[in-house]
Amino acid sequence: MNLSFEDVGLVECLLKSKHLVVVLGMKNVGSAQQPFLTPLKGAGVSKSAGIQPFRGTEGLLSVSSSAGSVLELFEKDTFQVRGQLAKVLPF
Amino acid sequence: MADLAKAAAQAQPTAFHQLLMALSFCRILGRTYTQNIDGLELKAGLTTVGDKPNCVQLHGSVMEVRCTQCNFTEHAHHHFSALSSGQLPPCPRCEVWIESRKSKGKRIGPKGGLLRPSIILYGESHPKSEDIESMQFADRLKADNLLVVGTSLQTYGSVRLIKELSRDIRSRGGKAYYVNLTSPPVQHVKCFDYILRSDCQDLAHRALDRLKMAELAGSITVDCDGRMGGFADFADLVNRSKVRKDMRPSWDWA
Repeated sequence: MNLSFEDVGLVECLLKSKHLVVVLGMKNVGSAQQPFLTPLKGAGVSKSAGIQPFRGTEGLLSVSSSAGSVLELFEKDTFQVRGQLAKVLPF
Repeated sequence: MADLAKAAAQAQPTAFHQLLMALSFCRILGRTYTQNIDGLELKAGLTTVGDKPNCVQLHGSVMEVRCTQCNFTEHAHHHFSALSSGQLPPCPRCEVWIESRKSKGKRIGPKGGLLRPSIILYGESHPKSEDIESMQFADRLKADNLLVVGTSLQTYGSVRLIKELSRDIRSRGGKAYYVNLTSPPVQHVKCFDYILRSDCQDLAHRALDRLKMAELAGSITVDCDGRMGGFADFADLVNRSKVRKDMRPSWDWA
């Protein structure tokens, strides 16, 4: 069953909070448009093994779907942007 | 990258970003951890600096550039032209340091750094990792509710953050909510009390309406603390979200 905000009292819970923590992902923060994620593996940037969170963080090049046109731009120029990054960023 | 930064610079915060700011005004929001690099949270008025930073950019920001050597950081718009041409501009702080060493006749050592987009890529360290860990620790002790929005829980760092927050919050009687258009992976379902397959902008409009009513009724205290983002006052903030009925950001294609 798909619950509604009212079913679970979400809005009331938010408003009663004293120290609410929000974790935002890359989807659904702005539109129903699917996000665009590029892990940059195609640019020759490999993920290190055994990395610690926030030290060698997951490092997705992430773009919020709230920036709808950023997404469109990025989708169009995926390979170009990956290539540019591989070329200019020192690793 | 310059095109990406320019497009992000033109994008406007959505109703959900406005909700975050309104919750901050009402001293409800403790912290927002974001995986987005477009900086819209900051454009809405949240802050990553000061005594009480209420936003953590887990993957950095495309709106800033950072020196590859000294970590000097500044806004990307100063360097749009250089970045557009595919070049990384030299770091001004390193240049000053090199000139200073030269004038004193001292050894210079390595060349100065270059300014690169301040985003976190695979295998890279977050330049603020220690601060983030401190904030995460504080939130695990203080937070009373958790709202996870728009993530499919695929990345290890975010999942660990959410699991730890959820465990500590729920052990104190708080609730953990998950709002997304799709369900979370099965192995993470147990992290949440409630899973809602909905659009977060719908939630934002409802919550802003309730905040407006509560403020009019005097049942909440609004403390803007001089940080209004792009809004005239609290009423302007909660009212403006009504304009965007299509729940998409507005664009100004200059």
